[in-house]
Amino acid sequence: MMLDYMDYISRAFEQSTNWNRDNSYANITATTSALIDFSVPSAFEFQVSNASTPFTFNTMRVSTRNVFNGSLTYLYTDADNLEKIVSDSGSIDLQNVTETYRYFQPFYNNHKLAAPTDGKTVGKSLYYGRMFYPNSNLEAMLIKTLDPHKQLKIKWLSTFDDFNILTCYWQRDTGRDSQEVIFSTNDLLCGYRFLHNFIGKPSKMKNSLYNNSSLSLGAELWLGLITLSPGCSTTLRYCTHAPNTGRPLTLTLKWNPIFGNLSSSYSAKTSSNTTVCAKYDFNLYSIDSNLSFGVELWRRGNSAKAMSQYQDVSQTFGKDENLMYHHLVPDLSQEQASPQTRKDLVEKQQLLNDLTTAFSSSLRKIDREKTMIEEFQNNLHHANFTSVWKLSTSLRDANLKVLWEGKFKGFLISAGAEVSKASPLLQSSSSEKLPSYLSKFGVQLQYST
Amino acid sequence: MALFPSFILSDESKERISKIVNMTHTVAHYGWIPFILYLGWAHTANRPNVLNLLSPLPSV
Repeated sequence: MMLDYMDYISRAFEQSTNWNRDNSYANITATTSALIDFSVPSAFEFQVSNASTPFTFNTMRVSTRNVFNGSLTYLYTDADNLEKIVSDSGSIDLQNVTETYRYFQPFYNNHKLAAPTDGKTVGKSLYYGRMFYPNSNLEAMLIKTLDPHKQLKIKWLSTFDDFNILTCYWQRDTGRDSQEVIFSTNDLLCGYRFLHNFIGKPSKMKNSLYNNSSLSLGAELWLGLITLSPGCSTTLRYCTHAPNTGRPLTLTLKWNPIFGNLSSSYSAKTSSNTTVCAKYDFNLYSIDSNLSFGVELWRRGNSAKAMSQYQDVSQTFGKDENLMYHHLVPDLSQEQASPQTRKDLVEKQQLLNDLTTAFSSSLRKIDREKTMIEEFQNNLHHANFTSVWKLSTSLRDANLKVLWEGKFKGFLISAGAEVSKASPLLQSSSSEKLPSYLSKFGVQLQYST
Repeated sequence: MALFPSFILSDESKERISKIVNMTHTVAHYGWIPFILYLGWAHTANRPNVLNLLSPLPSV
């Protein structure tokens, strides 16, 4: 389903405070869940949202399926530049409100992009409250950035029928490592999640090779103090780019030692308009297995506006231009030196020139690779997508999910359906062929100003 | 009526405590959104109309 307006605002808050949501164990398999385990709307839902001031946002949601229900949401944040990041539903980029392939860059690239932390992102907070109708339950959240690498998140679910859950998250992200300590009043659940990125620091030796892949290892540990029920899992993620096309791909391997579940996935952007994902699940104890596939097909609209921006970016460097090693060759014309040192310098220059010639083909190859990856990313970033089709199927569950998300006259529309087989547990005779039926169908409309 | 040591709460004080806890919960439950609205109102320089802050419909 499309991102809610408030999720969109909280992502804008993260962007404003330079918080990288992909560098967290909770989102390590975000690509797979966006492509295969996406949710399909199950009712008719309408949302209207408004940024009443640059700091306050509100949403009214009504939805109906048999019964009428709705919610009112208010959000306040003192983060900077939100009015530049947040745009209304007419001008929003579809790729920013859809759960899709997540790029994960090596962390030093992120650090380069991030603005220097001069204390502007410290002490920023976000207050969120959502009141439901007709049961008047409250969902509340508070996010506070403690310093550029730490933030505290408190979530509270309050009802009047003895169901109150308070969950606290303390998160620390240094780029290379990310840690999270969680405590919830539900069953006094305690959790710890960490993620580590194995990437060599850019050094003298590594500067020459364009390394755009990253390997991350993460794990989570849970313990409910009342029931003493444990939980844990560990995941390995590898993100890289196809060397000849510059298209990104992600591989993950997740293992849950308690339930013996092993899950591997492969996702790739096969072109700038399509993404494919395959997931294979295997259980070591029950020898059950499952194979799932997911596809995304994006459609572009009139690209005149987007292309002009994109060309500005791509014109700044040519494809065959050598981007590196100009600085290594000293400029001799500026030097005022004795004939002896001058001779040395000439020799040095000769040596450097020889080296550059000797390695020029590989240097050019690295440059080409880098340019290709950046061009592909710019192309996606500035693309003016108007709609996306998402399809996912799972062989063992024998289901098919179809979702269409798009922009139409300033509205964001998300419509989907799920077809699945009747559960075999409900059938007395297993020899009978199970009928397929439409288990879910819904439309969601969003409008924001 | 038996006399308890002071650290064992009488039924009356138990009741009072649970009443206070319940009241705090109710106040926090219904006060959270007005609190958010107040923060938004106080942080905005031109002090917008409360109705503007409340309504999710686009203000003209």
